[in-house]
Amino acid sequence: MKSSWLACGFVFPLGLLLATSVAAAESEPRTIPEAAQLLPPTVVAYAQIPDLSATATELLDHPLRQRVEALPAYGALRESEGFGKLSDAVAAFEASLGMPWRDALSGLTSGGIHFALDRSTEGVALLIRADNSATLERFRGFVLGLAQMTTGRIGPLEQGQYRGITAQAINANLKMAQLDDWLLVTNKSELGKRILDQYLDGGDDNLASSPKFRQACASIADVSAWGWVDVQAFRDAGIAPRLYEGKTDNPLAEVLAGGILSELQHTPFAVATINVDQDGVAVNATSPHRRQWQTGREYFFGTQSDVAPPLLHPPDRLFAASLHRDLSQMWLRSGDLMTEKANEGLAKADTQLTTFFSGRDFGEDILGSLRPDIQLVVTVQDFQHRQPQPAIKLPAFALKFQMKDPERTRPEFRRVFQSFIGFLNVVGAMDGQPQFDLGSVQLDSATLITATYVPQVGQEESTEAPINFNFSPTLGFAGPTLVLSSTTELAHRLVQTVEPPAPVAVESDANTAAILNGETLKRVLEQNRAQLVAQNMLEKGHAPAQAEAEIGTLLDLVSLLRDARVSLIVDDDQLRLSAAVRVDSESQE
Amino acid sequence: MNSLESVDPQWAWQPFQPSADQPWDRRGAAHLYRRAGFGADVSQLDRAAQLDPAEAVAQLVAQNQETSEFRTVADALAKTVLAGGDPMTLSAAWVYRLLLTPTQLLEKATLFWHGHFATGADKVKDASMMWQQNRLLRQQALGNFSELVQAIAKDPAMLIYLDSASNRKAHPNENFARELMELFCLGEGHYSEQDVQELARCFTGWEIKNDRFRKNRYQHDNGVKRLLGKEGAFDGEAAVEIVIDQPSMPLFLCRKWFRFFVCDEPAPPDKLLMPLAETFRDRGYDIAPVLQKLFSSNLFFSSLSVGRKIKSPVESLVGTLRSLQGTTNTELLARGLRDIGQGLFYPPNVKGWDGGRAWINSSTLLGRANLFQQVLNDSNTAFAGNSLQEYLGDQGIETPQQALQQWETRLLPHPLPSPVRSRLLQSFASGNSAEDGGFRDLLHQFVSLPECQLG
Repeated sequence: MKSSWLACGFVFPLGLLLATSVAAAESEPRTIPEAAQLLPPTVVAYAQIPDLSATATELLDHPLRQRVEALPAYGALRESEGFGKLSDAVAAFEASLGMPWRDALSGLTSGGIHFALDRSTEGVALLIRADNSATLERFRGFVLGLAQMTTGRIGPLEQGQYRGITAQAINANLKMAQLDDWLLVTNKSELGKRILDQYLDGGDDNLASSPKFRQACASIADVSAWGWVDVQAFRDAGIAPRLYEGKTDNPLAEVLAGGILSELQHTPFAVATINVDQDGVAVNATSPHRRQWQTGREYFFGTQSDVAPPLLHPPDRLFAASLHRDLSQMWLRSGDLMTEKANEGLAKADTQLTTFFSGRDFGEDILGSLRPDIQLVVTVQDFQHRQPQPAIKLPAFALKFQMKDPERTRPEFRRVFQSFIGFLNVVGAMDGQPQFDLGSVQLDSATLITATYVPQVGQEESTEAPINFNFSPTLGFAGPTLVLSSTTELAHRLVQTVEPPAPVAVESDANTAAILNGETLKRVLEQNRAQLVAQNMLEKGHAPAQAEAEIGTLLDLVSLLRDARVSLIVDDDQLRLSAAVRVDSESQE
Repeated sequence: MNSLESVDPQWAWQPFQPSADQPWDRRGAAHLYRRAGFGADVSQLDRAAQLDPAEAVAQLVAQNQETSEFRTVADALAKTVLAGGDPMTLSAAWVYRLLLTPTQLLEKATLFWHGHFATGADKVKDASMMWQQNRLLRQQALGNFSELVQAIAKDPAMLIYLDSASNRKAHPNENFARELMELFCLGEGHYSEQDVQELARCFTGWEIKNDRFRKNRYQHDNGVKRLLGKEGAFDGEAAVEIVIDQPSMPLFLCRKWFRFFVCDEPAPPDKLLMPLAETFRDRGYDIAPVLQKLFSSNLFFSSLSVGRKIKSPVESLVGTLRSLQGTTNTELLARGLRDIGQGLFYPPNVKGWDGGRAWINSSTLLGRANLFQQVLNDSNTAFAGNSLQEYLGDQGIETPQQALQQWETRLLPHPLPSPVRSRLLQSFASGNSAEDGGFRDLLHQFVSLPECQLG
């Protein structure tokens, strides 16, 4: 079941994996956790680690372990004082429990680790269920000994009785009690008493009886950890009110996450799951969703059939994102979606952009001429044969749109692009910046309007050229496709390449999807290694060798990353935000 | 001896001979390193104290070029940050150099020349040109003044700063000509307005093209000029030589060095400076022999010098860190130095920093204290790679009393007054922590003391 769930956790799995994961989630709903029967119904947030031992095994026996241990930084860590203290603590733990720590951990947490936040007492509780009370008793002794050491107290710690059960104070804030094979730690006596009452008396007045909680549990499959939040309770209590206002300060934030703000305004609860396995870590956050909550943000959600276009997949891809967003609608409805301050800025921008586009309304005519499919891609540039070469080497990036009426809007975009480059030349000339040379390239079925920086005399073969030489802004047209790229090379690729059926393309029903590639990220960092070392020296005052070592460690860690993915899927009943970080278990580098 | 008027010039510049009253010890070595550099840690002070004063000075002066190993690292760092094109980052690269250079006098003299030939990045805007000028100042910092002025007269950053990037014979630009005489070589009263106009004619045709200096012979005024009593068809190089050969030039420079290295006030009488000026002239305007004479002298180690200067922000912050083998976030420090009035590459105007009492007012004093706090609280700040408490522990310092005693020797010109010491110890005792945080608080209070603003 775990492998099936995993597929569900990743952002862009193949349809087959997606289908199996959904099937798993539907066919094997998780039972209500026993700890929920001990917790009061006023709990507003709950989290569980069902099998800590299995998660620890997954990490400690990971195929990457040898590569991590071979890193110089790991060697340094083992030599550090902190690692020494940790080793001492583990030795003390094993001595107290009388067994190796992994066995002890397995026994102590066999019934799971549970956290709860209670609204009525404003307290938090930690419940751990062991496979037997004797092991738990030894662990309790270990914790009490540790508490005595850290507080510097000699003799027994402060303790109290409630209905025959003894609770000890670990420190000024926390109290601990053992209930057979359960261990309870809480910061509020009142919450502790309610849990003890429930343990001793039983009854249905508990979290497990909450319909919202039961509904959430039904969607949980086999996971490393999961949590549930009663969003409605937080909303009603007025906690973090700005989260529920449904308005943003920042247009970019609105484009990326406006729909989630709508969701937070209405959804009763949210569930998050975390899964750790040999592929990496996957996080899924879901919440119930209703179409009527989308009112005002149709630009974000679209209709049911509107999903993001596939992720672009040119060679040397570093990052790609695809979104379904009707930018024209967002621009026109910004008064309802964004704060007053943001709207002031947008109003100014609207006036200026309308002037720039010869009086055509920017929101209605210009953005309105584009379909709500946005594709962004970032690629690593190859500077090997380029002259001049910039000292700081940046990736290339491009946006790809589809025009609704290409014949009508193509001349408009071409003219504005050329005007804008002319404007940059005038401004740049005043600051002594290099100048652009405008040009155009006619391909079989595409046209590129290019702008290339002209190097200064004597700088044509420089390998330390200014940062400007990363860019050759280009506008590309190919049928209805419009490409705005930071370099001619990338634009060339995007207007000519027929997108292959990418094996890790966006989930077919995703509203938003993004992917970051680890291998290309490392190449970008390698290209700028000297800059990173210099920055490290300046920021930390390090000597070159020390800075080199730190940057080397950073690159080693990045080399462990295969990719990171995010997606947002919206359907009639549910909104699902997924994120996954996959590690490169196979590479021997 | 409170007045410089009554000081015997012969005594003043005689080599300092330690005595029972004025021993040559860690405290004396610390004074030398504070003035001829930025500060030294205990081991450096001990090594210097084992030499005699003249030998210690000779060692500092002999380091008139950076070691190739350090220069390679520091130049590579500066060139790498130049790629970003931001002069403020270049400023951080200079702070890095100030904190770690093994050639302290060379770097201190570079800082002096930066204030003397003041050029601001806010006007030049080109980080690369500022870096070129900085390299020039460092190369010539302890070299020959005549060569330095000839080079600075062709320096792109300087010419842009003084609006001489395009000097045409139809409209000679007088800015550089005026500052060359008034601020760089002679001082007011040693030239006339006509000299300014004639000198400007000599520089016509000097211009910057593609970020490089060049002479445009079509724009040079080949006519005869009358400059400072001489007549001829002088070009720029010949004009600079005429200016430098003026009798008032050595005294003008020695007065500036005296104020920068010896004491802020009162102004020294000409007769006191004459022996130094004669050395400067006799040695063909070489800088190092003058500074060697100055730092080895009776006057330099006398009460007329010790504690008679207000530390500049760079001297205060960099000096404290160097004395404790400190390293930190140099970008933070460079920004902070600019905020409190001494941004490297950002002098306030062509006159440079006024120095002396101008460094101190209620605002800048508070600014210094705040910057010290920022630096000490920054997670990147380390002392020989450790926390302050660990660093002190490695030197056998466990108590606040011991810490104050050590800092007093390294950072203060005079012993700490007892009431101040008691107040600091009381504050330490009432603090929450006797660990690293407690020692950092103690150091912050110490370096914020008025006594610690004196060099």
